[in-house]
Amino acid sequence: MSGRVEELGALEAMARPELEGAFEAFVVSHRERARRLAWRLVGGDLGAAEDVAQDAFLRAYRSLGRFRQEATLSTWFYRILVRQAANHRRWRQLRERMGGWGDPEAADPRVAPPGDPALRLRISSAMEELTGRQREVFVLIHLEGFTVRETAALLGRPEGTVKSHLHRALARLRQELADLRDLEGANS
Amino acid sequence: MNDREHDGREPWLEELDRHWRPEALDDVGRARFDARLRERMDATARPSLVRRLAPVAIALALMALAGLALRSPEVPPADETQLAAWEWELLLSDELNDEDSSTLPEEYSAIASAFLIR
Repeated sequence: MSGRVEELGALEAMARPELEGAFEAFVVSHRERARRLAWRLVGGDLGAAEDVAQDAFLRAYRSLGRFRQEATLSTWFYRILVRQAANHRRWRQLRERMGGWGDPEAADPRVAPPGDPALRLRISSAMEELTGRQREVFVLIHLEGFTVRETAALLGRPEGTVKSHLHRALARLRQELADLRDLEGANS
Repeated sequence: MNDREHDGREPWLEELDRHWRPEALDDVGRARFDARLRERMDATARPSLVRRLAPVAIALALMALAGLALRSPEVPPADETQLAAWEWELLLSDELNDEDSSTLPEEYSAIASAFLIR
């Protein structure tokens, strides 16, 4: 992550071209992580993940004038992205209820992610068993490396609540993916 | 639980992390992503067609409203005004009860006929 971008001074005092330059640097340094986080939050649909990541960048760009230094630029941006992903999941659930989303396995026809497809499907099913908040907390902390404090700031929830969601998510996933642990143990 | 509980995580989490991720973008994917975002950002900065046409649409709507107002019956044609005035006069006149239309101005009959025909 670019320290220059992370430590942006008073954004409102920056000239527009300078601001846009700083934002472009931010996109370059965060694009991959944003896309991966979106992919994990929307449940492995690459097309949807790219849309969510793009929408989050665009929303952040449009709202740059409203950004205040209370949070880091990255915390502020990822808050937007997590909301975008949650909105996408809500819309998808609604469409599924109306009977029109299709086969989840066919959600990403362009690129097959690396790794064992059967294992990925099992992980995906286990992740689907989590509540939306449990999934967000688990992905942010255990897969994307955010701290509890950062996650709490990002989700606008107390740290205790975040820890509680994380505990439940871990318990659930341990139960669902017990053989994944065994598999790992056998391989090591 | 400390603040960096993802450090030193359990091995099965490493395995999950390894399998539960999309393929990283290659150069083409990165260029495509950036180009699409750049296009959308430029579109945001540019006033949309709707915004550009809005003043024209408002002006046309105002002109249409003004046209309707001019055609409204609030200002009746001269003949109708004249007719109404005479009718008002007749209502006030004692001669109305005489059933004698000979006292009406001759011009009244002509205008009244024209009005009724129309």
